Amino acid sequence: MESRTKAANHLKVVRTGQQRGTGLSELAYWGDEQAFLDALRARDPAATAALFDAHQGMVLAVLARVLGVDSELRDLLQEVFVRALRGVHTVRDGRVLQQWLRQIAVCTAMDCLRRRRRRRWLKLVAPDDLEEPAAPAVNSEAREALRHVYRILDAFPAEERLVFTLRTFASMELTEVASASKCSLATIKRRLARAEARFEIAARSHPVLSRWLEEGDRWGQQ
Amino acid sequence: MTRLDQIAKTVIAEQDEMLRELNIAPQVRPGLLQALRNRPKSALRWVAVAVPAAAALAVVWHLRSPALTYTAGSSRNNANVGSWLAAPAGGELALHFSDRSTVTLGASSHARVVDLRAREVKLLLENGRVSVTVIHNKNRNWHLRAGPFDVAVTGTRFDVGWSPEHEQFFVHTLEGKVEVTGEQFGARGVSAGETLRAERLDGRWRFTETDVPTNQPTALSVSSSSSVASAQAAGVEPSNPLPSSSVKRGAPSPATPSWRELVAAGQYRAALEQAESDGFEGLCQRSNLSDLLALSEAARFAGRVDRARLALTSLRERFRGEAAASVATFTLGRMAFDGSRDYLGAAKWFRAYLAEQPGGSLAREAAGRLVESLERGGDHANAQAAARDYLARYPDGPQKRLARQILGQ
Repeated sequence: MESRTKAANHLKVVRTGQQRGTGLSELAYWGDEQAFLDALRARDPAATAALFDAHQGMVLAVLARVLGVDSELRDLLQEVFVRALRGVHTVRDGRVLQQWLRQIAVCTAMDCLRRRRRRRWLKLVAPDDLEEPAAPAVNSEAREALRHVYRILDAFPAEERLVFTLRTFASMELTEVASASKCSLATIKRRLARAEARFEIAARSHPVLSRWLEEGDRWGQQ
Repeated sequence: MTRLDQIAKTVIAEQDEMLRELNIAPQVRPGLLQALRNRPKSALRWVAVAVPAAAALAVVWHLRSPALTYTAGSSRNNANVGSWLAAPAGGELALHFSDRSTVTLGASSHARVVDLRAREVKLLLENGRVSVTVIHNKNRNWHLRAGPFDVAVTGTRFDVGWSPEHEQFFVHTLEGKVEVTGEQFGARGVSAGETLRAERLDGRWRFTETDVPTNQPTALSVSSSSSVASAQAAGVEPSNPLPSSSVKRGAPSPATPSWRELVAAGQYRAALEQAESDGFEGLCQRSNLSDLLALSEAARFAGRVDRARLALTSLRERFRGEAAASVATFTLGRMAFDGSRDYLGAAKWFRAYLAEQPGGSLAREAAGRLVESLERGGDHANAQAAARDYLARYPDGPQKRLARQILGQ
């Protein structure tokens, strides 16, 4: 009987994009999150593709903000969705899919930071030998500043880096950071304060970052 | 603004540009399903010995129950799950599945393959008649849904007919056995040579079961042409169509196609005219969800926004809580935006959609359209608030530029 109910739910799955010649990702579940969830649990390729298309931008942004644009990003993006699809049976409410995916992205980024820290501790790879961002050689001031930001962050404890980047670069609310990091709000606030202070001290030694900080001060006073 | 804002802005802008240049998503997307079939790397390290066995098992499993594909008509390309399949008025449409199962749509019949997995295939007969030949595979279940009835089958040959207009259903089994479940009915097996018919009269379903062969007159004829064509396709004698005098509830004669048939044929103006002569308002009150959507489409494509709006608002009221009702809400917004240029009216519909389906499949588009509607409608303050929400929820969304522009970033 249960399978019949599921079958009935699946029958709500209607492809609207197809008639207009659009791609798989436009498979519309008519806003029926439960049907979408069922299809994901069943590893339906169209649903998987739809999930990826809908959320890859957000996931990639979270990973990039925390880790920097890195040659590992491709593998990490895949890892987030593989983790998500393997664990999709634990999701009870399809409406929280985005929030849940963001949490997985944050956890994946955190795992990556810890892996890197272990590698450094074992001196298998010196920090300076870590792969540079896989960006094309652009010599702009901004690109150089970006590289320096992540060099500073490489010296941060993983927990502080996570909080700092999610709050400052991913523009997440503190409560969202707390929820995604599975920490209390008070802990997040403490870590953020420490991280901001640490970042500012380090940034003042870099001419461009230092200038931007001063400009920020002026803006802040206005 | 904090003093880190300038740095944050630069980091975000530079990273976004780098991500665009690297174009990572298209490189990951194709491999995702493959990766799902493999074990995660961390697990592989300590269970390396088990990998060959797991891979072999996966291969065996895959060979036992390969994922299915299908083609429609003479096309050599695989058709997509969910595609709307329509047989022409004067002929059939054959679907060929990769396991050699076939489904033949009778003339003017409409169906969809709504699920196509290794272990389960689901078909939806929207109207008309199909002849189904399923190649038996104990690991794979087939379901055919027609109106409120579900036909479950593991391997057999059978015909199914469904007329939403007359609320008539039948299943005739030629080989093997199928199980039919449905409203006010429970479950019932229909064996080879048996026919089960159902018709809704005065709000109640009436069922008749016969074990007569199909070359005897039937008590239900969904469509005389489909019946003949489909029966011939199935290799049996055609069913005799019911004499027109005994067809209940005034089925339209073949010379006057129903509005549904006209919609299916893409003749939207004619479909709308037919629906008007059938009583458009009445149709809005009694049609099922699928018909209401078809009615609204006919009206939209015929340029009758008022009629489309009526069909969609009826759908919203009558099927409140259904996901399709929210889609109707979104469509109403789009019509107001694109058709009437009533931007503030459109904004109300997009807001309503987001309230009903905050995480729905159209939520991103609705949020983007809301920003644009408010801005175009001259409500700059609310457009800014909507833009902030949009960027918070969809930082890489297609309307991010507009949202940033509105916020002066």
